[in-house]
Amino acid sequence: MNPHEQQFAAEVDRVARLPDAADVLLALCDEQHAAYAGQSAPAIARMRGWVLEALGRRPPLADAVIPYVLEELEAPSHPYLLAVAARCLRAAPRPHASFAAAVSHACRVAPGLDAPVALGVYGGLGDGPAASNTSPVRELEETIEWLGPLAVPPDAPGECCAELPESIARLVHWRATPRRGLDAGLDRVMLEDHRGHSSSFRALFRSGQPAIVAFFYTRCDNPFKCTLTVAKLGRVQRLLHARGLGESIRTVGITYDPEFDAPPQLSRYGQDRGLVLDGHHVLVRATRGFDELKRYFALGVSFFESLVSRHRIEVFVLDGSGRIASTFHRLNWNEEQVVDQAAALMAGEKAGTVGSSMASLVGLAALAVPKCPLCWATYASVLGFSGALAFPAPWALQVLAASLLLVYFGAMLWRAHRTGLRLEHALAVGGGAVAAFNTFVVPASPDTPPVMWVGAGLMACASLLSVARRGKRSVT
Amino acid sequence: MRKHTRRTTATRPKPRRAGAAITLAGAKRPALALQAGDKALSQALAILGDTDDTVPRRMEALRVLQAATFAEKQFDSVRADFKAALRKLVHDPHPELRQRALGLLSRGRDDYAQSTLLEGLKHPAKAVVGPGDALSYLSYNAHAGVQSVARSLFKESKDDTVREQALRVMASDPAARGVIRTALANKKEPVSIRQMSAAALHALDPQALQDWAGKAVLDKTEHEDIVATGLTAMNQFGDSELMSGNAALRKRIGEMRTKGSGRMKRLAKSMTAKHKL
Repeated sequence: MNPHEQQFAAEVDRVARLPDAADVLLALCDEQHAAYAGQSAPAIARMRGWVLEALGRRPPLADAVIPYVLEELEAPSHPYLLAVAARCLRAAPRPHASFAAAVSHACRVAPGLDAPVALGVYGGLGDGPAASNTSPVRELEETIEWLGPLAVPPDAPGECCAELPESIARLVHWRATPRRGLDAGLDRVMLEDHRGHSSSFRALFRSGQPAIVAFFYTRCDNPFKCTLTVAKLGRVQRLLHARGLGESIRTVGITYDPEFDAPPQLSRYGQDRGLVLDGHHVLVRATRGFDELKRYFALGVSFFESLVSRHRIEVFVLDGSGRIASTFHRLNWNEEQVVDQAAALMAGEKAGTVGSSMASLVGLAALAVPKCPLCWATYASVLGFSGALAFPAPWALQVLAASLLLVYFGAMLWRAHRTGLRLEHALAVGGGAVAAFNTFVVPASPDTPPVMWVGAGLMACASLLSVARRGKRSVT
Repeated sequence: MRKHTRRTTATRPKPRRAGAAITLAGAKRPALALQAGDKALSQALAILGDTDDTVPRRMEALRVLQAATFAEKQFDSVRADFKAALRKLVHDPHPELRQRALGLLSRGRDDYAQSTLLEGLKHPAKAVVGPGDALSYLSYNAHAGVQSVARSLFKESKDDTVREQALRVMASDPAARGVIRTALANKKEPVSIRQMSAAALHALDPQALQDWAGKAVLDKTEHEDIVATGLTAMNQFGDSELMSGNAALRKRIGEMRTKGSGRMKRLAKSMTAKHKL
């Protein structure tokens, strides 16, 4: 036990005696808690075990604690943590059928992890090398007894993702987060895929297609976390292809360990676990801006020097603009549920696209309005650009927009040549440039200021000014 | 050329009879006279933990128990006791037993063994094995938290065996990249350390190794073994296009093909043929 752990253990003991201990202890279950920063994996296992022990001594267990307990049963890696989790679960208000699957899974794994454990002693190691008062298997046996008729035999076929009580499920399994905008910091993020191709976060995730994103790292030694997550991502790919969505929904695996996980490692790791990797389904590492990525996804990961020391399972569904639409974390996730979410998002966006495309058509119809050539181009630009980003085949409308712009700029130059450079020409060219910038260079989104409309406004002013001057000349 | 002799019936080992003492490397194993059934494992555990018993008998008990771990169902009842016995052996007066126990526990990422080994590296007075062995056992678990200890041992230790072991650990530690590069470029370091540094750098940063190799091959004051390491790295993992565009390298390889030791000539010729230099 290092000095930090000694201090931590003493603090947990002190907090455990307070009336509001449960809340403080619950906060200590979060991987991102500062107490875990810079601690090795075995140290974190001891620290978390001590927190769970303290929580288990205060029955009934709050719903918010149960995911942390089930997590240790679903992905056991440490004898002490497993024994603590098995005992802690018995502090739940009542047995639930969904607990049985996790306990059954833990029972299958526990014999390989079985070791003498001293519960009530920090780290589970007693005074001597063999000092113990229990073991993971013994604790699990007692938990099976506690489950009573709900218990599932360990040799029964494993069932993924049992249905949790609603009050717990909403904490972990499928939590639809309110749609929020992209952080400005994400502009810094550069991602390199398994082929060595680099792209920005925006380029990868703002292609107009939803994406299923899972986090992992190749040096993870817990077979029930990263290896399983990537293998499940492979199953997600197969489900997408089976539903004909393989080309319209991306799958992206992002490594927690960008320093070590170079493209060859990523490629091997993915292929060995059944992923089909190409330009659409990728494994990536952040070559720049990992901290921004970590903040954006609120990742539950802690590091010891350059190595991941602890992380939870994390899967996200992103919309076509790269915004988080739903989150699956900590506990085992169901591939079909994730695909359903992404497919629903896709359908929703398509419906939105049809609406936007109607706007595009109205914009194009405005071309037919009999006006001077200057106004034609103005209306076409204003309405055309407004629908460009949501057009089902964005490239087609962007080609159209680019052509119209060229015509527009050509007409301006021709007019300026014929009549001399005037204010309306300067305004029109400036407005066109702003609109083009906001379409092709920094694309407009609901989260960015509507600069495009400034451009449209300038073009409209140019048009009005031109008409006003012509009218004046006609009167003269 | 090695002669292949055909074994005659007289020299061929006879099939082992049931109950006969098992032989390995010419030494007879002591018979433990274990009872049949479940009690055998408890008996073997008792022998293993008995410090008054002889080392060969205790080693044999350990072998029997280790073999029994494969029979998962039958062994489950004593698995925790076996781990407890191994943890006790970590402090056994006999180094052979200590090392076997540490090896088994470390492969199972046992917290007790890891803590004891780390403690020994930080406070040598408490060490149960030498630092080289401790690093070797700890390297079974990349998450044991040994990276920073390995870096400081590499810098401070005077024992090249310990430093080599530290390098093996550092080969999976991106934070050690700078230390490894420095060791590789330092001509005062022993050749074995520099060669191992090259392998470690290849694991962490293949391009950095190629950059170094390009310079090492051109450096006429460099040790021949190190030049050979550089040439091998370039030959195996280098970019043919970049190499063929490097006139100085082509010239140097050309020189090596005609001058120098047979090994260097062979390497240079192999490189020329593979990368069309």
